[in-house]
Amino acid sequence: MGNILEIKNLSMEFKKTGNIFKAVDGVDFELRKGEVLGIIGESGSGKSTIAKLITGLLKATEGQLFYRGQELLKLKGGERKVLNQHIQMVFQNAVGSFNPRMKIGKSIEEIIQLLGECSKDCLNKKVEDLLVDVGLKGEYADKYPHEISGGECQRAAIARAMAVNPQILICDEATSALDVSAQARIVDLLVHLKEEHGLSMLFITHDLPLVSSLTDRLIIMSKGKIVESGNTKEIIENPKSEYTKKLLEAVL
Amino acid sequence: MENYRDEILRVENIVAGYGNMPIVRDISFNLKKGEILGIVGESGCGKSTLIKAVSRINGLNTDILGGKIFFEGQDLTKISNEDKRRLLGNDISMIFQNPEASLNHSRKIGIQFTETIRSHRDMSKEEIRCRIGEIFESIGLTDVDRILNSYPFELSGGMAQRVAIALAMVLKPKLILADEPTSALDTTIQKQVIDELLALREKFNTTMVVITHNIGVVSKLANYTGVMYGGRLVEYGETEKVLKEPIHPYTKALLGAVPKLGGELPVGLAGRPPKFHELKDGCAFCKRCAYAKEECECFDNKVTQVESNHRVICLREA
Repeated sequence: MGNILEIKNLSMEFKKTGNIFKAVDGVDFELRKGEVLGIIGESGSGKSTIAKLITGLLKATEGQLFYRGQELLKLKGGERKVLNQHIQMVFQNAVGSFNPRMKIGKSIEEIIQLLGECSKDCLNKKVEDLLVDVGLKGEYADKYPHEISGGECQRAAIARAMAVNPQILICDEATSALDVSAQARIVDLLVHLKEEHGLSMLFITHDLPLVSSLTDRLIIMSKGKIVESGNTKEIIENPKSEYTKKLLEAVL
Repeated sequence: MENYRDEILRVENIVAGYGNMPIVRDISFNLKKGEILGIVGESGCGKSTLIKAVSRINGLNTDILGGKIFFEGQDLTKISNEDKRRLLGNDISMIFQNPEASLNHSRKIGIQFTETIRSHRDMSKEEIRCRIGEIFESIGLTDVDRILNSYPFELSGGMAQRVAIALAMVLKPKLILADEPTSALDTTIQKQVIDELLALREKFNTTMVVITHNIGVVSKLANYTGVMYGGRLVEYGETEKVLKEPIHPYTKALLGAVPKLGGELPVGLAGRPPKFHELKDGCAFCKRCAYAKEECECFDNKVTQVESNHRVICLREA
């Protein structure tokens, strides 16, 4: 398995009323092709910031990001946009990640159109296929985000992310807002999509039991730094750092 | 009636909802001093409506359509606004899921505490400061002066939630109603909040009703567990019994969806809870139930006592 994403010495500083706050502080890791990598940490540990840096929603203050050997941070405008196609993200608040005044179908259509012109019939067909793929009915295209439940909306968000056939899917607390049953079904869907499309996944969460069954490798973060990383099973069974032990103890 | 002195809350066949639309149907339970009841279920099962109805807070818009709620022998469904004002905040208080809902964003935290205390007790500034310090200490908040001088948005989410819990505790209420108190928090803070709630019960013998969809929280916190589906309490019993030897197919399915450390991938339940306006007679769960039979569709939702303290609404047990 080759590395699809390599991150070297990545740092992000936020300036807040004169103080400099280092949200991510010299982080190195790699995402292998076809694996699920979990990033665990408490609120404020910088895990979401990493997701935003990879997707280009934030601009890193330091460090390098290689996607298939290509340095992402050096790319300008158009070139970078092309790569957005390969890296997609699913957010925690699914309902909030859709435009509330746009029907689900329209939101997904917009993404498909970025790939090139497409006839109306062909668009409708593609949207329906995507929705069916994530376990929704085709008629959901005609609904507004507030009309469907949180779990269904998260499915629609996954359909939207899958619309451009990404290589990497980043899930930032994608199931934290859902109840256990809906969560289990979203996880099931993600595993299914991963197998079918050969996705590599970055799964960001604070829920250790959930990632313990889902991920191949884990990164544990605290205060912007990686405190432990390695094979999921080994970390769960034999944690090395004090912080990981504390996290494991907090599992109810 | 021998245990009457110990009994804090008794809910009898309550039917509640919004307008004329019943959401919560035929729910009964009673709690003694220091007991904690956990209520679990998927989103949209009527958990929050139940707790809103029990709290009787004006402005939450829940109407009680039938049944009775007794708090220390006093019927809350017939209580006047005057008496309610005396009771809420003082003897009964509520913790909401997000601290934004219980704290006022445009006022400093200190003022909000003073206001709550002054509206029920006649206390001097020093006494109030002392009381706040005591409560803060008991739930592990050390930086008292800084917190009292901050606005809610200046605190982190976990800190704000702990402040909201402190505010609910400050008058040492007899009953706390908590609606998803830890759902917005990450696991370490969640554990801390649960330890603090347990410590508070230890200290003040507080009774609590806690709503959550986190089975782990219930197993750690609650003496009794109620499982809600379609507005009914489909299974109710001692936490240990309900979680270890579940009877209702829904409880079993819900437990199967809980991810376990180092375990297999959790299995979710297909479909979703029925919308309340679509609810027909019969078992609400039969469409998703693995054991469903034809008779389930005309089941009268009778409660079956399995053991003295364990009851379930399911045709298979009836």
